[in-house]
Amino acid sequence: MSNPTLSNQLQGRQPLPGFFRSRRSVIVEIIGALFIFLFVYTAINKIIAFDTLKHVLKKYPLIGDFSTLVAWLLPAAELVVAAMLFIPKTKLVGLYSALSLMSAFTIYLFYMLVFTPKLPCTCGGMLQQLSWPQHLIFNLFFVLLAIVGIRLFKKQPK
Amino acid sequence: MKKFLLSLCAVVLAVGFTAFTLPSKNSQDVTVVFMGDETNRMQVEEPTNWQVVSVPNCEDGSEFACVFDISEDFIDDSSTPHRLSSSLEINSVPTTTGFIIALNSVKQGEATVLISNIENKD
Repeated sequence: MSNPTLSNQLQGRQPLPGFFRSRRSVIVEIIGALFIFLFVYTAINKIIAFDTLKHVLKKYPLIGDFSTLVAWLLPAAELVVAAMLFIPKTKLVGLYSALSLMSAFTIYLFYMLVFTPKLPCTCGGMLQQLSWPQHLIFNLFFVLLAIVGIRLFKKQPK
Repeated sequence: MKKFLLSLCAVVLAVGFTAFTLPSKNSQDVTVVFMGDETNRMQVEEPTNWQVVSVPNCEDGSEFACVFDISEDFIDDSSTPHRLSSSLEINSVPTTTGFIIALNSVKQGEATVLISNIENKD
């Protein structure tokens, strides 16, 4: 019978702190639930304010010409990722997708922050109240959360 | 099963939170998307029933879009641009201006207005 801690130490890898190790699956579930909450909430708000979203996106650099397509794709992608996180079999794919989505948002947000900081956010709901720098911190937190989720998921016993 | 419960709770919470945080709208209020190039705070004296509700991330001096509340009385004719005399506040400094707004669309309590000209900014 193998001892995971010992095996990690033997491989020269830093084992996870005890708290994370013992509650791995619970933390993965909580991270998944947080992403589900975030994506479902923002997707619903985007759909509710679809016309507003479309008009504001028209003003955005790079994606302005495809505002209608992007306005549909954004909430759709968020709902698909939320669904993947909901189903246990697709949870890991969901976490990777959440990481990709949040990374893409963060990169674009950084671009907005540099080039067009005066345009409003179209993220939906209460998140629109955040300033761009606050938004950047919020996104980076979720990117980090996705990375932690993926790492913990992979270390779960099969 | 417990795993499903947590995810299900997240979905229910998201839907509930959305319903809870939705701005309340009565038949008189509509949300207007303001496509202008000035100010983060606008107060229109005439007509008096314009209300600014939220203007996130907007500053004066550049192109932006903001969300306003406006009385339905002013969106009865979406095909005609409206000229309004008003008082415009830019960073709390009152200025008088007349401007033309074109209503791009009016749909289910939401309207999009375009500020096409701003005069007498000083």
